Amino acid sequence: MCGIAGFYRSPRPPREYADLMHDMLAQIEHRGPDEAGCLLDDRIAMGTVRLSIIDLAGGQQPVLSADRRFRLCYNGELYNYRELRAELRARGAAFRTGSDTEVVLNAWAEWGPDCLPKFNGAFAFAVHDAVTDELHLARDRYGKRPLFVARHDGALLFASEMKAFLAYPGFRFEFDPDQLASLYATWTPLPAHSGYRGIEQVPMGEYLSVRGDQERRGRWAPLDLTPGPAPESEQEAVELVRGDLERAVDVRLRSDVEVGVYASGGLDSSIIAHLAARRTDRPLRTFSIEFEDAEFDESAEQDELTAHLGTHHSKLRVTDADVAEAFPDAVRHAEVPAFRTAFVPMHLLSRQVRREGIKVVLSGEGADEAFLGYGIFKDTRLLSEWDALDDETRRERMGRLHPYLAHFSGADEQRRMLGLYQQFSTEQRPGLFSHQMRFQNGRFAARLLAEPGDPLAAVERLVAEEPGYAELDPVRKAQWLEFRTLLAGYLLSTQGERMALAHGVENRCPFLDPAVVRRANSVNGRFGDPYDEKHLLKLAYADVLPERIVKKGKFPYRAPDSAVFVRSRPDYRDLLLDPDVLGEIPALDARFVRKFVNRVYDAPPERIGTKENQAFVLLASTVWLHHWFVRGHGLNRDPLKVPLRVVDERTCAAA
Amino acid sequence: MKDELKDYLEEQFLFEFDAETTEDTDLFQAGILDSFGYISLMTHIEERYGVQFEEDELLGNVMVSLNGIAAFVDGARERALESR
Repeated sequence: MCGIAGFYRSPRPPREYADLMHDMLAQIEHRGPDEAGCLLDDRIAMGTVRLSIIDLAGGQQPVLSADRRFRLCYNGELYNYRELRAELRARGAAFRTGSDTEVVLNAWAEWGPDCLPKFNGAFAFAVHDAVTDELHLARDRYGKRPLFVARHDGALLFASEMKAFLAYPGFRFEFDPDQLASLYATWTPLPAHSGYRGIEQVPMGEYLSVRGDQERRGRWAPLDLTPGPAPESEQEAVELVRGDLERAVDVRLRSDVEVGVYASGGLDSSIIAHLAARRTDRPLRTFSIEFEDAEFDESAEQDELTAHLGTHHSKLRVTDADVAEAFPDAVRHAEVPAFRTAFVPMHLLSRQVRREGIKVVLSGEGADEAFLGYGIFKDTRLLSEWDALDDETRRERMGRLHPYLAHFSGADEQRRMLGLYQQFSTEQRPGLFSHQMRFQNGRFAARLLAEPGDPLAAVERLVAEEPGYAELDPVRKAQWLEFRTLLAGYLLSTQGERMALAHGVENRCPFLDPAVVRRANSVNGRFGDPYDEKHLLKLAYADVLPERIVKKGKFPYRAPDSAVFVRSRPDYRDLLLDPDVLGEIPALDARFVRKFVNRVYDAPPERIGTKENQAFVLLASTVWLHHWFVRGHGLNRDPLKVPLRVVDERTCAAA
Repeated sequence: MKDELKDYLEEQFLFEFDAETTEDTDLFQAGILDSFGYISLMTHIEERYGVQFEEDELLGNVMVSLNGIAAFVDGARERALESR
């Protein structure tokens, strides 16, 4: 895994390009601490910091095609690179290295953007065509790897992380109030959003082609949730799911360095650990987090799993104080406001993983979206059937929705919940039926903003503009929204790759193999009780995993939120109420912020609920982002720790 | 009761009744109450005023406004008196 950065058609004099490239790459060196390289010509500068995983010696970047027409800076892994290399060789392509990077380059040279659907991987890359002067920026199917684009002073800037833009002369960060409102209400930035004015993300499954002032956008992978042909029996479905997952893990074990697994104690990562362990000739390295707070801790399941599989397990104990201490730096890596603190322990864990010499980890991310593991899918199913059910059935189903939540147990609680669900049993916002309850809860956080407007307008537009969305059934609409919001905008990014790459660790997600997602959509809802989440996955692995893990039910990975700061960092009260800071962030409603922060610190802990926790973390992360990005304190002035290899094709260099 | 309820709502949900958020505003639709807030409000009303929301009332979309809740509590109390 790596990081890329560059600029195109900059008005800056080309003699400055090497220094500019160096400074931009220095901001993201954590993503690729092994090597650094860049290409410079009069029209473009593009570079890579490399985390070497495949062909350690030969995979240097940037790479140029044999005729020097195409130049590539690439961040990612192509899991099917061997197969594609064979296909390209058969078509006459020549290879000088064993790296997947060269496969990407030759695939682009051979097929152009039509190569993208052939790729099974996690990637974001920039390829420049020296003949046409076109710059192409492409991103993987599900948004596993980031790619940001900004325009400044006539130049187009691009980078794996926005912090690279801090090093470009004159570039300034400024919050985008509309995007913040959307983010606060829906928990995550929407696919093209960054949270800042003038910075966009290349959305997942899309590419952007630029030639001078002309732009062309292409969508190579719309999110396809169409169910395929149904297996004939549950047993056949189980075997098909197993086969797809085995292949997905096997190709993600392709690496010239050792691969570990994040083993949270949940079903998904336990399946991945089991599948990886059967392919290693020494004990598999597994890693997990242990919380001091029993409410969040899954140590018992982790211990049982790792003993069962015989892995070499490392556990990192995380306290409230640890989370509070690491929060500012974790936010700096996240780059966007976060609605909970669960990403911070992942920041600490990836640091530990790297210290123990592991550069690649597999995780269970994506299983809940693919196999409908979240409560929101059951909620949606229930709400879509609501009018046709009698009260007794409604209560019975409600009781099974979120068994880990106290307010779902007990007759009085369930009676009151009936009223709540009734509120959401009709669609009030077009296309958002499944997420109305979540987004309603998120609207509280938007009150922290000075002018939130309609915070759900952007997500409403997103689904309205999506071809085919209106025809999806309610549960698949929920699935589409999960893929496009929480998964891409938080789980894969803030909590996933940004925390891993902060310490030069590459994360891989077998459940997001396109074949696995396709298979999941062909079996979801067709076997077993639809209110029994991930029924087929449990069935498929019940004979190889500890019973406790299979039967536990969904236990979302969480960490303590505002309590972390209230219990261990009273100084945050002053930080969040600092009049200078609040005066500098016009997007915030300073009056409400003061009222809210005082409430969180003064109220008894039991009075602080989910919405207050989320609002508090969003606010705290926004204040830190203001410090790092808007004020610019996140600029790293240290030089690269590795030499910068320069492929120099500038006319001034020739002179 | 209504004034007490008003104070409770303002304190609990961090807002103030004003020209924009009136005593007739549906606090749920206005985004002031979230789902947990809705449940805790129902619980508070039932426990504080000794009344109970019946299922048909809950499913009839009780207007979650200050006036709506106050009217419900008054009505429930009257029904309780009549049934004695």
